[in-house]
Amino acid sequence: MATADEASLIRAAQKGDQDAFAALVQTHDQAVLRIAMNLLRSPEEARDVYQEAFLRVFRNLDSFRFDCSFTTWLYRIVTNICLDHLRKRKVRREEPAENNEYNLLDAVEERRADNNPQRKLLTGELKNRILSALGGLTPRERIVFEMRHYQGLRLRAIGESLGTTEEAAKNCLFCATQKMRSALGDYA
Amino acid sequence: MTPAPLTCEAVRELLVLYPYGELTFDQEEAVDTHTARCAACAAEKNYLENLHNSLDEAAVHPSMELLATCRRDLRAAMAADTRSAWRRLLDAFLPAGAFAKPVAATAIFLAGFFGAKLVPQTTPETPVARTVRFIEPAGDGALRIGYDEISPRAVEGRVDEAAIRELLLAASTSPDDPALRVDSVEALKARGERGEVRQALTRALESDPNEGVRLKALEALKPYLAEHDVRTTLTRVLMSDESATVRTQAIDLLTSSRATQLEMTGVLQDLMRNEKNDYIRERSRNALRAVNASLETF
Repeated sequence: MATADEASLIRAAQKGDQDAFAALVQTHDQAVLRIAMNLLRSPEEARDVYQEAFLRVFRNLDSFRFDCSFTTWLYRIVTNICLDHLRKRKVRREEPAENNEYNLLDAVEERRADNNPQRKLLTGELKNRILSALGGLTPRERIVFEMRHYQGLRLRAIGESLGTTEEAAKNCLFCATQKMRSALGDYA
Repeated sequence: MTPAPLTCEAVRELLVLYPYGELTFDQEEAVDTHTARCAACAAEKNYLENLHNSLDEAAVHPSMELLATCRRDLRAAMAADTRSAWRRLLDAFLPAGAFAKPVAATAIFLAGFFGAKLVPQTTPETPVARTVRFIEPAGDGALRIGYDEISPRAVEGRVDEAAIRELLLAASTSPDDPALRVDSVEALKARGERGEVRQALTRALESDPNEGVRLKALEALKPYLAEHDVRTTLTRVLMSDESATVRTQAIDLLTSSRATQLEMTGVLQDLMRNEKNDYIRERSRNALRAVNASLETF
């Protein structure tokens, strides 16, 4: 459920309070952008997701009835939009190649950079394998993995966001981990 | 009654959830007991921990610039959305004619809440934000309503202009919006030679609660390392900032020239004695060696 403060903000925003709506956006928008970036690895698509998600919230806030937490409701919107993007990619067979992806893993390499060429080679290889492994997950697995691993959401909340059960989310996480494991092999 | 020991297959399934804290207390106990005596499952547990660490490093953190762009896009989209919604409403209920304008004005008044925060630009259609403060009877059935009115405005100009700088300086301390503070610091850095601007930048570096803003301020101050106030602020940040990234960049900057290395000797020796961060200790050691200073105080 929403906290008392957040519930007040939502009620005020439902009545048309612009400050309250802006506060709601600012409370959640960094997380929304992070989810979109991690899932889609493209700043352009993340921008689209951000805008579409908050516009949907803006247009449908009246229909929010506090029967789940605001975060769950918002993440349901965000994950549905991200799922659409991921599915469209699959359909178009346009899953970005590694070179086209927004490659923040370069930052990992920079942070670890040292004068050990073998280490650098291994880090680069690991980077490629992580990207490849993420690309090999189904859209649903990728979302569950992202929400659990990077957003720290409980499996029950992820199930609610995806309109499914905790058990189904658990199975997705299990499959995702197994796929990551086999793709990364001894590099992890 | 002691529960039956788990099979390796069952443990492998639980190990996936183990690092996420999704197991019950009993399940965790069972996994720990099993892995204490099963080398293969212990190796698997270790492998999955390493996998988690590798994946943690693959996390993407969107930049504050991207966040600021998204917020700007959203404001514009919401303004357009609001205007088209009212237009649809008016089209549905009103015939085109003499009454359209006054009613449209009323509609815009009612839509006023979109004005201030989410619609930053003034256009002929831009509504005014009004917050009603009180309503009281004014006699003869009339009401007296007190309200505050905020009318959004946009202004264009260069950072050389005092009025623009004034707005940017005000935005650099905007309490609710770190993205706005990042934008203002980015714009102000072109005029860091001005006292009031550098003061705003050092204040942002030292006091802003948002790490992204502090990093942006640090970057903006790089050309002004020769200024004593900048070096002093950087030193305080190096010693006390909660963010390892900010501190790392601070020491990189402070040890970037021989002159600052010499000036920093005491601080660096202090860091050699007390610092926990390996990178900062290494940089301190290198800087002290570069100026042939002792690595510690006696």
